[in-house]
Amino acid sequence: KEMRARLGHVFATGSPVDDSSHAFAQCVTDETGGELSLTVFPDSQLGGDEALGRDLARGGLEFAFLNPGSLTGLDPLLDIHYLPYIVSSFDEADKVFYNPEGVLQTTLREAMGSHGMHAIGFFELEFRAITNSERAVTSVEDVNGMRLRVPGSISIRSFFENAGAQAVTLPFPELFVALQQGTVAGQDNGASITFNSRLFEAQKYMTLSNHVYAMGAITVGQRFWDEQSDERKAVIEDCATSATADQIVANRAQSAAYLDGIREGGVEVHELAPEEMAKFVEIGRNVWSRLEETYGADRIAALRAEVDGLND
Amino acid sequence: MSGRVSKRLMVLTVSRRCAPRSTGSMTSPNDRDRVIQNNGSPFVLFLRASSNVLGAFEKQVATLSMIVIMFAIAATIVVRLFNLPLPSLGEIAVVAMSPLTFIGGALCSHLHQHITIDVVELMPNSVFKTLLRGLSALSMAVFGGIFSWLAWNLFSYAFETGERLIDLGTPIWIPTGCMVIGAALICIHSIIDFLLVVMIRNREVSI
Amino acid sequence: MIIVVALLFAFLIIGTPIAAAFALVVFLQPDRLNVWLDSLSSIPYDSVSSFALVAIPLFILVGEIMNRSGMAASLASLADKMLGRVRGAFGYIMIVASAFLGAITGSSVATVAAIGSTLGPEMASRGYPKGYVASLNAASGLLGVLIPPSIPLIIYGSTVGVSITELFVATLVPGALLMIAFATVHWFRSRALLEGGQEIVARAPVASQDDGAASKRMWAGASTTKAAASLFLPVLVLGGIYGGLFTPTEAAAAACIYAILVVIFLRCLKPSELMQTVYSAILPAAAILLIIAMTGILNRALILNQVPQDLAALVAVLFEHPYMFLLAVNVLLFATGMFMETNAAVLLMGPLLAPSAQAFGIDPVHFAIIVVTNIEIGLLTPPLAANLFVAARTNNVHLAEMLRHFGWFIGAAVVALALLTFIPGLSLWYRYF
Ligand code: NA
Ligand code: NA
Repeated sequence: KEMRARLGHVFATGSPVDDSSHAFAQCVTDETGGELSLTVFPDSQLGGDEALGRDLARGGLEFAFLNPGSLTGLDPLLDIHYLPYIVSSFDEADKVFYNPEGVLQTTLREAMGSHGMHAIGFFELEFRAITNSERAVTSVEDVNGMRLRVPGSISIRSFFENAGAQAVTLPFPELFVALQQGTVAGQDNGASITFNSRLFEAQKYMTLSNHVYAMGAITVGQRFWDEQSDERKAVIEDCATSATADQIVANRAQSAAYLDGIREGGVEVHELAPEEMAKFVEIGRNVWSRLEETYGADRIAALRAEVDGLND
Repeated sequence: MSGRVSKRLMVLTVSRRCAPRSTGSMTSPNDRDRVIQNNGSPFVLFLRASSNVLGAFEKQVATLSMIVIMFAIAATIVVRLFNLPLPSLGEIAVVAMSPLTFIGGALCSHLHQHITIDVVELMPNSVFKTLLRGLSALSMAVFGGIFSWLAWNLFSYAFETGERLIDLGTPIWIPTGCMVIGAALICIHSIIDFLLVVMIRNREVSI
Repeated sequence: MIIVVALLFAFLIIGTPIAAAFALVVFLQPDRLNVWLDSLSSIPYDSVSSFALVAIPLFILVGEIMNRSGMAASLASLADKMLGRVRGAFGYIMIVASAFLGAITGSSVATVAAIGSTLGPEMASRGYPKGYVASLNAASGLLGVLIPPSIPLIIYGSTVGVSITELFVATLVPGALLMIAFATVHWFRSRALLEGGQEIVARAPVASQDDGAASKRMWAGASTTKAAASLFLPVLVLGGIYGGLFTPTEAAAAACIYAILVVIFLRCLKPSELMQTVYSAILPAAAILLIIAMTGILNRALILNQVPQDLAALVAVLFEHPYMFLLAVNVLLFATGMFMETNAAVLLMGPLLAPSAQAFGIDPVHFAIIVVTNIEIGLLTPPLAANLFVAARTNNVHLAEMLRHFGWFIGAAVVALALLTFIPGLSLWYRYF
């Protein structure tokens, strides 16, 4: 018998995540011979991440491409991957973030699992960056006293406060005008959001600080998942694997294109010199031990071990 | 003569350095009560009194929510400008939107202040008018009933999972709970309304 | 879908509150609409738990305070002195004031609320039918979106990928065009509606006639202080936003606090009266917020059934000539605007239609202005017409009494929209400089 299912996400039509969600939907529809067909609802048409999460858990939605970092209200562990400077390059990200046995994926899967959400694959969002309209940030001192808008994540906030910035909470829809009028000097989204939400139009400088690497999850509602046959589960998982692999490649190419677009928009884009990057990394990692209460000392210790292992 | 009186009143208000003007000439529940007082049975009086008691509660809650919203937003400006070591208080305003909307919505039900396409008011036939009023009260009661049940389900989910808002960690069972209370109150007011329309059938009363 | 619409109209006609009608049609037939009832309860909660919506109750409150304290009246008499010779002056004042306030709030509904409760009663006292005042009030609220900063333009720019700065500049001429359109309607209608074509002049002189010069002076003195204090309000709010002190939403709270301080220092209202003022603001605020909360439910049902999506796809393939396409887009958006909340409609329809517009070679900025203007006109088109609802409530008038008036303004807006659609230069004016 044929069955229809819905897939929701908050990403813009035509973005790499949206493309990937369509590829995944098509794959599932094809591989089940049309027995399970997915319809994609992009652009927050079915609500924000919190609403998607609630619906997945309660059975009102079957699939979502979620940003688990937005769901920390449900479980503080869901933004453990926002710990500053777990990695600072794509190579490192591949080893730490896309290791299914690693602390990050295990923690996220468990935390989502305990709230009725079954994660079947992880895709790339972006490295966060620092943009502002006051001065080029090339060292930690440049951030000092700068009024920066940050998302509601304890890790990111602590990082900027430690670096001497004034971290300000501001709802995203207000951000563009706030940047334009100088209510805040800058913000810390990466190339994709900075370009697509046109924030670069109100900014002069961007520094690829890579302080946080964000990852999204292809998620299935637990109730729906439990009703599927093992055979179908395997099909869905295979589709997730190929969709995420393709997404990561496409996302990196697109991210470079976004950076070009931001440069064309008149923004000076800076990279950090290795010794300055090292200082940022040190400030970032110092935050970790203070967040042991939030994420658990054992998890942070395990994560440190994983990250230290990168250098071997 | 009456012109002279109104001039005097004008001067009185002026001498307080301001000339306040009232916007609302909405039907106050007191007017309705006065009519009911004259031709209502004890049960009718009881219904009306209960509705008034609930209305007084709703008024307090909604007024308080409005004040909270105002100060919370104003506080976020101050916190940012002076870089005070306080978290963003905007979340409090967002939470207070639920009681303002839903419990305030119940107050609108009590005072018949909901926004409607009020073609009914244009109808000359008062029997027909009463019938439509009854139907609309009934539909509102059905809405309130279903909405209460749905809101309750969300509330119990929020309560069980302990989902919180991110900035201050306010549990979302608080705003969703306000939604349940508001929905239930809308249902109660509408049932009372419906009963009053059925029992009194007096066009003055159901205004 | 036809059943849904029929049921909706049936509920609305029997007088079911709009908020309830939009939710009930979905509640009563979840299976037919392919929705899962339980997930619907988080829509009203999520809709109102929004920082951006906070401006609506706050601006309603500002309006109430200014109105009850007489700040609005003193502003009105000031404007009167400046424009006294102009026929039907107060209508133009309302249009210009809405444009100014719109510049501040970026939200149509908040603009209507604030202008309606401050200027509405004054205008009605000058001999205009209340239904007309409310209609003008509702229409001029649209200017809020077309004068930056504007939330719908930000939403469009960021979901479709059009420069927001360019949109903010582009929208100025369309905004002016709409102002002219409404002013033209007022020019004609005020002559038809006012007795002798003239406004009844303010009543301040009434007190002065035989009650002595002393009270006249007192009125004048208080009025001047108050007018100055009231005039500073837009200065504070605009200066605060453009000076980077606060965001447009926060400006609403700053305006509230400022108005309360003025009222306290000028001793315009006793504390109990101040509480009464807050109370009188919560009813319209709650009524409109409940509508915003509950209409999201029908919107979700439409989206889940792919109704707007399918129609947009149809429009894209059905027509070959760009003008036919634009015409069809306008009809589709007009219909969408009747049933959907504006921000949701922009978020949904923008990405659906923009790619085909691009294929037709229509400039993205031009197309953005068409889409946003059209969807904003939806604020005036029942059954879901937030500006009309708020105007009716703040001007204390039945919607039915507005019926014969607001059509003129919708007509004017549609004419302006047609010009905007077929003369790209109106939106792209800045490229000629
Ligand atoms: Na604006
Ligand atoms: Na409409």
